[in-house]
Amino acid sequence: MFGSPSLPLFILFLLIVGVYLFYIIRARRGAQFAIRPIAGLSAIDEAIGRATEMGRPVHFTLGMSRFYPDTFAAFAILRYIAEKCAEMGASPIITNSVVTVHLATEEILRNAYSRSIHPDAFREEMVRFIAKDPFPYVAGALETIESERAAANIMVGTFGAATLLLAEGGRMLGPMQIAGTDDLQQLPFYFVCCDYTLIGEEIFGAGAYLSDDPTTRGNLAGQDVMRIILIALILLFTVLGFFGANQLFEWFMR
Amino acid sequence: MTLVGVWIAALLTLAIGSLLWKQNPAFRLAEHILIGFTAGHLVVINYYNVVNTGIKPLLYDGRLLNIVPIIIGALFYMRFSKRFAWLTRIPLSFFFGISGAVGIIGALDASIRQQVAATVLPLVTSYSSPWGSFTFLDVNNAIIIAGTICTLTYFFMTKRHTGIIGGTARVGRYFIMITLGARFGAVVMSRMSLLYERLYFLLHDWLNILK
Repeated sequence: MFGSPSLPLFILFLLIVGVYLFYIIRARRGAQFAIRPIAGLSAIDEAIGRATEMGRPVHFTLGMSRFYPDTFAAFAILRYIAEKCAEMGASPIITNSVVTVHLATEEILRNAYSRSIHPDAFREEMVRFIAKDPFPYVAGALETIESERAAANIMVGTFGAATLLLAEGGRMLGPMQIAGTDDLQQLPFYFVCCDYTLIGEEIFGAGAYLSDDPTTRGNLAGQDVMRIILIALILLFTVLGFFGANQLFEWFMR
Repeated sequence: MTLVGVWIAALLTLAIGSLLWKQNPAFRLAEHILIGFTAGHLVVINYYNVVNTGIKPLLYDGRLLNIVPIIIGALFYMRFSKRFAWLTRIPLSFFFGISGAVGIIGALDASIRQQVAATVLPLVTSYSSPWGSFTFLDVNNAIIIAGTICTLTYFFMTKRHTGIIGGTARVGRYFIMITLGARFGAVVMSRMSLLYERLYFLLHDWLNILK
């Protein structure tokens, strides 16, 4: 049984699914999970409010993200931005560099507007495909921010080598900038160039933070429990290693 | 590169670099040329990709399974029809499902198991010398273990950052900031090498000042 190469991974998978399901069910039955303040997510309301007052659009981008985990987190933020913009009368502009993501963002925006009090306010020009490659995409996105005089620039996702160009270019154009990514290479640039930065896994808390949906809140509580389990595993393996008992760790790594 | 090519590349490099002064027509021209060329390139590459890897093998090699991705891809074009636009959701759902499943398996191993493995390090290290064998606390490994645990604590979302959690989360934040500072420096250095490459091109290939 313990010789199976994928068994530890499978057990880990079952553990994660079990923990998440437990907390999602708890949340659906009414358990409350308070979420600590996340400045970058709270600032989204401020950005949209500012754009509404100035009569200017809000620019949102997922960058080069394909369907990565951070893309799904960005979709949750986009859904919230779309709902808020539809409610407050601000105009969102989404620029994309991946065709499939482009279509998904269009669907998200269309759905958000169709559920809002202004369903007719949705226009297809709100979602724009710029270019597939990073540098032309950034050139086009900056051009959009400038020509549309965007009051806010929200960037969540993967931008690769073009991160600094977009963040620095955006800073020069003057909109309020909020950015988030789980890519360690990109984060330093956001700290330098943006007003608010969502660090790593903070973007995965967006869905729960920006909505009262019990499923996502339960999910977030499950993530915290998984972090505790990971800390416990690290401590356990380190202490066992200190006493020369590495068998359990070696099995875990099979 | 031909002489004409060198001149075009040099002038476009200067046009892009002129942004350091301010936004100007030369920069905008170079910017739009870049976007336009990329769009044209994308169309050509994708056309040949679909024809060579999808349609030709289907028609000439009898690879009937190719019909599945071709149909999935074709469904994306339904968005141009108001009546059948809903069909676009089928390939989108396909992408969502596949990406989620693949992502979970990748994350399980790379983001969880390998991360644990990289953190479980020996706390003591032995050193042999002519005067005997010594055992020390390995400070580097201790910092890595403590840093990882404190950083994980920083990302607790549903726990208030007070008491022990607050203290370790604060230390975790310092670790994050130090890491990001180091990363920033490393990336700036790599960008400098790109700048040197461009300067070398201008001074060597274009102006022939550098030999």
